[in-house]
Amino acid sequence: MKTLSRLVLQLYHEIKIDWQMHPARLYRILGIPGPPVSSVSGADQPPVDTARLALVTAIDFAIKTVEELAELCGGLIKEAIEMDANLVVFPPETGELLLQLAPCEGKRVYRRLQAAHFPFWSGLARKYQVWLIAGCQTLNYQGYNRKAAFLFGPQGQCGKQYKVHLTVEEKKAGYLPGREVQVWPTAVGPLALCFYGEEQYFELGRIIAAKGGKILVSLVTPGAALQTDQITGGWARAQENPIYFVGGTNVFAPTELSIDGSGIVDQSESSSQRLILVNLDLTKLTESDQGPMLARRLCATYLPRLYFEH
Amino acid sequence: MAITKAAVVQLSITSLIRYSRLELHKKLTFLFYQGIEAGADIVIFPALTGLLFAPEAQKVLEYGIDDKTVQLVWRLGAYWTAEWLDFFRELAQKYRVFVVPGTNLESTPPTMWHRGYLLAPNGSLLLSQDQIHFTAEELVLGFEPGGSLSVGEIDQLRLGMLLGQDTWVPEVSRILALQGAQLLISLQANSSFYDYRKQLAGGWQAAQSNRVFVTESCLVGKGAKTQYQGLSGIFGPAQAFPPLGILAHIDPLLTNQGSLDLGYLISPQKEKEGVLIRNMDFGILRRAGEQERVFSGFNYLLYNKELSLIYSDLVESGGVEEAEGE
Repeated sequence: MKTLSRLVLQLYHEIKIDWQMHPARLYRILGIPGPPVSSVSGADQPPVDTARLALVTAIDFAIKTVEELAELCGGLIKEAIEMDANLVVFPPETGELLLQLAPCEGKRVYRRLQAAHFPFWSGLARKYQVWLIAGCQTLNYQGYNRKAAFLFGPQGQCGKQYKVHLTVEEKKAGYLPGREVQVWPTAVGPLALCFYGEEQYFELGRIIAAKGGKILVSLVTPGAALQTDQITGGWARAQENPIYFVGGTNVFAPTELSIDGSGIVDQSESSSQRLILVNLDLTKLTESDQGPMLARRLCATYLPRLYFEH
Repeated sequence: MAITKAAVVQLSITSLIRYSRLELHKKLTFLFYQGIEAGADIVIFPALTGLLFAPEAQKVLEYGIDDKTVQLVWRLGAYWTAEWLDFFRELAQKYRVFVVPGTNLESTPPTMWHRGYLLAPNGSLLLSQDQIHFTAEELVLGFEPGGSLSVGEIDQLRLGMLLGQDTWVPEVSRILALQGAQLLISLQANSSFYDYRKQLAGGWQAAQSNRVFVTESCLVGKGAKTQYQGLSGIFGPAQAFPPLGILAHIDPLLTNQGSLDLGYLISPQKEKEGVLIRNMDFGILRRAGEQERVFSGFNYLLYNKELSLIYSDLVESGGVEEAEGE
């Protein structure tokens, strides 16, 4: 009898979440018309001279309703837009914000809440006509897990970047790596996403730069990265390619583009501000020293072959 | 005989013009002997040390490499190369140590190579390596990029060389590390501005991203129209050698640092002479298993697809690709 009543309650919660998180309802809460036009790309983005990014430093919201979340996130986005930002970067935990609304534990409830991430954030991006990086989620497909980071555009388009470099622990836990690296043309210029730790691989920076990427955003909680990891990761990638690297509240550039020659555009580990605005000069980036021309033929003699032989 | 202790020489060319051949030999022997006295198994001299062995070649150091250097190296290079190698070969044999005598310019007109060597304790040649990456200006002067990356083997230790700009190209150190190199020897003669930050992007970086030891040996000092700057050091992975993986540095201030400072930092040591000596425990590298941790994250399928394209000669520059789902 107890089991039956638990099952009934579970079903009730599922139906309730289904109704609460229905895209049509979410769009109504956000005050926007129906779903986005399908397959809208950002390819028509005009070239960008200066990228203006707003970095959200913390998102420790304790929310009880989706309306409350919409208001809090909307407030941050509005503030960023007033500062003339074209892209707002939310911390990685953003991807799990809606899970706070789960009335009970249960895979199906979590899945429904997880699925609401897309209409909710794409709706916010459409409402405020801004580009948003809205955290990451672990997606399950046919029994395999993949970590995905999300980018939403002002027309409601959604870009998804799967984690391509897995740790030993993630492999053991059954995660699958992504097979592609995406570079999206956005209002702040060609942009790519990665997960914390992936920026340690120079290969990723090379692939992004070869695809025309100018900004690499790593999904890392502000203040979480060790200093040496920052320098061996994002800072080094910015020197090698050159690209801008944004990770948490650290923004790195080729050394000649920073005022003091350090390669640090912004680094505010203990910021009390909710938002940090960063200007990235893409014109200067293009003009910066590209270093010696890469000996491609020599590299091709050894790579990628050696990765397999090792 | 395995390497356990390295001596890295930072060599100054200031006032070099006033040195006689005998005085020069004495100076180099003195620096070499500092390493020997400390029990080093390998003594490493910086890039372009070979040019010290003839007055004509010294002028290249004093006035810089120009469009006439290729001809000079072609006419006289063989003589000073022989003298240079013989000098260090003798030292290697006498003290039974491995020697990296630095690098030299070698030529067959119209091209010129920047080449480094590793000598065994019996004086034989264990490894030679040509610099791969040059700036556009250097290529105009006749430099020919090397066509391969070799790894030398001493007992069970593999080592490779990073010459000049190659230190700042991550592919080079990765290729050497994937071939099993645990020690990378970076040889520098940098005639432009050099600072700690440049080093963090070069030799130190190579040690961190491949979890290997890297030694950086620099030619420094003022010539008549040149000024060489460098910061010699011995680096290892910060995970195995906390806090920063700086095992030895020509600037003691940097050796004792607890955190990395990317701010403006003038090191008075970047034009001074000195010898760095440090034990290198390759066992720690293996035991820490750090390299396996990093290398196990490689995405083979992705690299196979994307890096093949990037390194293909057909691809000159990339364009923004359309975002497509997987």
